[in-house]
Amino acid sequence: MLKRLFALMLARLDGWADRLYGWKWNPLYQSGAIVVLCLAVMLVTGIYLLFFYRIGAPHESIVRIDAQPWGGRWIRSLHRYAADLAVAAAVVHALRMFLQGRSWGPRALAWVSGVFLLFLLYVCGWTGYVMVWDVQGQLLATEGARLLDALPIFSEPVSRTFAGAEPLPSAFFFMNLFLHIAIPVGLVIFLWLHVSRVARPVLLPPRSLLWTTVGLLTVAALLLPAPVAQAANLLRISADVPLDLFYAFWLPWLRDTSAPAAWLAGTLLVAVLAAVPILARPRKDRRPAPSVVSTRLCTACHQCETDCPYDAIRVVERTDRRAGKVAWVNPAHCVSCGICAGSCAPMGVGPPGRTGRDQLARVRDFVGGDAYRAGAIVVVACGRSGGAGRGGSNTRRASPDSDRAGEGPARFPVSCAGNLHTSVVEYLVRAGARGVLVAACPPRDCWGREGPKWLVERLYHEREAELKARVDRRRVQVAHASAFDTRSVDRALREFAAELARLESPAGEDAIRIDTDCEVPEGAGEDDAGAGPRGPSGVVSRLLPGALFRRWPAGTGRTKARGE
Amino acid sequence: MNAANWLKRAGAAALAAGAMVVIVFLSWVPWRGPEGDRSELRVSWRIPAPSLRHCRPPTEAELEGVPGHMRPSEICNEETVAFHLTLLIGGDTLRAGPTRLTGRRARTLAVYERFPIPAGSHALEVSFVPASSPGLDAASPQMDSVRALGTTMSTRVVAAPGHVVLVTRGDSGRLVVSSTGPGR
Ligand code: HEM
Ligand code: SF4
Ligand code: SF4
Repeated sequence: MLKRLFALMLARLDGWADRLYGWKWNPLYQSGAIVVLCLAVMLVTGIYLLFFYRIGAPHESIVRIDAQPWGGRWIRSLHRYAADLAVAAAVVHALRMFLQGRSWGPRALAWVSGVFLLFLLYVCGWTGYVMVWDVQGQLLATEGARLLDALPIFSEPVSRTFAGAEPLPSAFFFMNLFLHIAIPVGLVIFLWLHVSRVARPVLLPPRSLLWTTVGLLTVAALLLPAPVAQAANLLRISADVPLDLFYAFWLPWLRDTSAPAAWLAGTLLVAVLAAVPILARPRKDRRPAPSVVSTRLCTACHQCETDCPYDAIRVVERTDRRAGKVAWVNPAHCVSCGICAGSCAPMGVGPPGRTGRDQLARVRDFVGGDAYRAGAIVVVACGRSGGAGRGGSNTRRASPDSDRAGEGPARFPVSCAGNLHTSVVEYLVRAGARGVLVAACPPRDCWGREGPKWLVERLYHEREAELKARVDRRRVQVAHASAFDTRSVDRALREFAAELARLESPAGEDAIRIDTDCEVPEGAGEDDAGAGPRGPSGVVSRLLPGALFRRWPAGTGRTKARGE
Repeated sequence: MNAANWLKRAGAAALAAGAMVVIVFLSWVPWRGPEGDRSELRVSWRIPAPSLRHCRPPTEAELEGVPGHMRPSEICNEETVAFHLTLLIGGDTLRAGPTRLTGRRARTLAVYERFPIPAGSHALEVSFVPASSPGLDAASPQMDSVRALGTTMSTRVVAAPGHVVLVTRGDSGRLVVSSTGPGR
């Protein structure tokens, strides 16, 4: 309930940010990539700072860096602000993943490694501030030592190092510097693990957003450089301390908390975060099932393997009576995004109930039903886009403008535009729809990662399973809009309607026959939908089951398929 | 570009700049801990772990089966002696009890404790002596060297606000007070 509320708030925020920045540059969609960008900025600026940092006189060396007429001060500030932005962006990114339900099942590895990434980022920040050895660094060091002393690890209290009786040994600062450099190596390893289950991870934001972010950080560092706080003094109580709230917001709380209680709270927090994949997953009967390959229809064309955003498909040797290969879905990696359903020309793969064949059956019912009028524009409304009504989900009116009975567009709701098989679009155009507007979510916010990207390529750029050349592209359009952005959909609809008005009226066909142009193995009579390789090989051209086209007698209005 | 678009662009730029300013300000938030006006008494030292060594000749049963060249002339065990630390400030007890024995492997006993104290001038009494425990052979000649590790002190300290009064152990084994701040 609370999660739904927050998810709605997030979608609303996305909508506002979209209006200001446009979906291409909405930074909220790029939060994970912005963290990577910040890490890169920290690496470059960190290398510069390393040249001037002295473990024998840490604070003095920072003061000297700060006094450099060129560079030093703003490079130090840039390093710091990039580190701050990294934490903020990582929290936004984690929150998005949680609220969008992308935290369980095959994504559990990404989630848990994400928790570790955040933890490492904090430890790295901790060591970074200790390096400065100002009053905040002192507080972090002494509180850290207090926490360590609560563990039965060390033979002497670590805190005694900070008693103030003797100056701190350089070995301490050397160790700290070593950790500050070694932890980012761990970060890179965890980042690799973090994105290991996704195909083609997007590690950096689009170039314009990248340079704007770096530019803004640089301007902030130039105009508002971070001051150097007072040097640490172990014989003084760290009372007046400037805190970096991104990294040290918990310090005031920690000072008043006993070490065992702090350990308990920290462990509980990490445990709850790490357990999110178990706590947040839906009930067993509500979990979407992984994709299934019809070994009868699969021609081993490799397209679904290429398109799957989670690398969950492999084309393997058949183990049935046929020779050759067949696609195989790894259920442990499949998140049931359904993108493969749109990839497969012979409609041989997809989550149960969402394959191309299922989609064709639905669109046939839609065209035969009351919601559809020949000559109307059909909005194929992705459930997570503004085409599905305010807040998405296809449960509300599409928009005040577009849903007026009788005169507005007809709305064909789909769960994800990235699943859409181009045959559905062809079917609608050939059934006499004036035009088809696919309302999809913004590409960088697709919950299935690459849905809108592949959709556009299939509709306009000949990507398999492409929209056939016989379909008039002028009657097909895509609009990207987030769940609360019904305005963009309305605007796209108005502009589309104006463009269509300049074209002749479409002529509906009496009977529509959609061909798939892939070669399908022999043995088409054996109906199977199993994911495993089965059955003998052989290739014959095959049409889709006639049962899907009951309303129209087959044969009329049929256009030539490739190779015919 | 129309006015609405300009307005949108200005809003977008202002929001991005505002977000950066928020980051800058959250990066440097002055915080004053509650102890700002108070002082702290800190005691910190370490001594070799005080222990008594008890040795006896091995019994016949213990030597049975042990090859001649491996027979020990005596069997010893070590008894660690706990130390009692008492701290009184202005006559009030800050702490009185045994110290936690750490570093037995490294054969050290480390003391490290911190206490908030009001700022001002105080009478400070410190006692760090072997704790008597049942079974401890107080008459053992080794007890003299153990007792020598103990120390006591009674002095006046000036604790400046925000500063630390540090009690350590000098090379000679005597307790040393050092503190900073005005009034010193
Ligand atoms: C701290 C540094 C982090 C970095 C640099 C980072 C970066 C990324 C990147 C680049 C992706 C791939 C995005 C894509 O191409 O679709 C990703 C995915 C993901 N991240 Fe993070 N992330 C971080 C922290 C976190 C945290 C703290 C969490 C949650 C606790 C998290 C959860 C996820 C999940 C679940 C995915 C997979 C999304 C999906 O499969 O649909 N990440 N992250
Ligand atoms: S035919 Fe379909 S299921 Fe088989 S490999 Fe090609 S896209 Fe995948
Ligand atoms: S539904 Fe298809 S595209 Fe999506 S993860 Fe599963 S196999 Fe890959």
